[in-house]
Amino acid sequence: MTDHELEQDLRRMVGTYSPMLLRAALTRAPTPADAEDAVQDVFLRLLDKRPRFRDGEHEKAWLLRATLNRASDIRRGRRDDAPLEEAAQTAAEAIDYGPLLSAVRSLPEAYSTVIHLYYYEGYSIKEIARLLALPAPTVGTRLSRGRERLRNLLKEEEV
Amino acid sequence: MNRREYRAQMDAVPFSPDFQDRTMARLEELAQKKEKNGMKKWNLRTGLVAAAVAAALTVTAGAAVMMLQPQDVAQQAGNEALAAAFESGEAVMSNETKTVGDYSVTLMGLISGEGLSRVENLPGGVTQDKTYAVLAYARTDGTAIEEDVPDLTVSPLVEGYAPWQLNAWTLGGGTHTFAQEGTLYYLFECDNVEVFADHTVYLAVYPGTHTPPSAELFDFEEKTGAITPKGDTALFTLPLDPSKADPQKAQALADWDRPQPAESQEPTEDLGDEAESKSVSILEDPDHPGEYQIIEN
Repeated sequence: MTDHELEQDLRRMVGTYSPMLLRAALTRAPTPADAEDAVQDVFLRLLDKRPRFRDGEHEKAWLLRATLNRASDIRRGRRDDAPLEEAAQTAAEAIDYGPLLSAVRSLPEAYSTVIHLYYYEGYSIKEIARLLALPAPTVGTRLSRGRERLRNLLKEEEV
Repeated sequence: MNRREYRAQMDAVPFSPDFQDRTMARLEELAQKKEKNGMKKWNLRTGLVAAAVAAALTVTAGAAVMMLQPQDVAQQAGNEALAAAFESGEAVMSNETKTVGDYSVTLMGLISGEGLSRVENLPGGVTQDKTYAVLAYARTDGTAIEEDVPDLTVSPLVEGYAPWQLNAWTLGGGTHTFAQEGTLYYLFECDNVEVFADHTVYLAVYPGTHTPPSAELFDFEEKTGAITPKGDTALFTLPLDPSKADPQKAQALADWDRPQPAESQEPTEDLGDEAESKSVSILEDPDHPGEYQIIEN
């Protein structure tokens, strides 16, 4: 691949996937800025490692999973660094995400990812299973349990 | 859950409008750096061949030292006897690597039955009628693994036996996992699989946490006994000595009273303390093959 072709390919991927990846990262990252860092890190890693993708689906799945992993790492890093965590918490509190998005963000990662991909991106259980490399029944279970938890969270908030 | 409301709240999140431009700028910067570094490396290789070879050897040695050995994994798992068994030279060291989803999985070593019995003065903690295997997981995207529980299941499977009839669950499987320096180490134990050594014995690694190998995940050809994964699965063929086969013991392990699952019988994931008391059934939608319906009981 020539430099020009590589640049075109990267530009295509950044343009095509950035919005989807930013939203997915936000389900785990403490702030929107952290979600942007996570996605940017993944594109940089993509350039560094240059993995070979079988097809467009494989490419999308790799980017999504790498982004989710990176967003989790950022969140865990914040937990290990108390003063930074406080700063991030303050920043996070300054943003009004709305009750539903806040509730989704507060779910365990296994649930929030599946809920987000199903309700925002409109993927079917089978498509989510392919993207996350999980058995479809596992995705279905997580979706069901995640919805139940959301119902309870939103009920508590009303009270 | 109100999909429209959720989308509206997500769409209102203030991401930077110049995110894509900034990202492309950083990518171009990195590409330029890589190009420069690549040229430097090339010059080094052509100009200082001996130094480059020495450097390469140093890197290789460093990488090997960083990875724990099976005996270290057993030691960290608190099983001194098993560590001694792995060090005894009776273990089969493999170092075969396969990719499953986002993970590179390496089967590092294996020790079973007679190999364990040859270790003198085995204290409690190692049972001689067991097989122990050590695996290492690394992420293919290069990020460190920090969690101790991977989203992968490990199970032995034996050609000639349906995966849902003979697996980690029926063979009394147990695991110990821990993450260290970005690699996750996985110590697996189960009943001694050497008794099946006249068959092909696999160690299967596939997506899902504590997910039994169902008909959803594997095809089983009854006539030939062949096992074929339906999805992304690593099958490590275990290097067992056929002379260790014990058909009588094998049959005893295989004979246990469990009905064969139907195609639609799905395994449910054990999420430990996150598990809810409410049960659900997930069935394939007969009107839309490949799509699943969730039925809350």
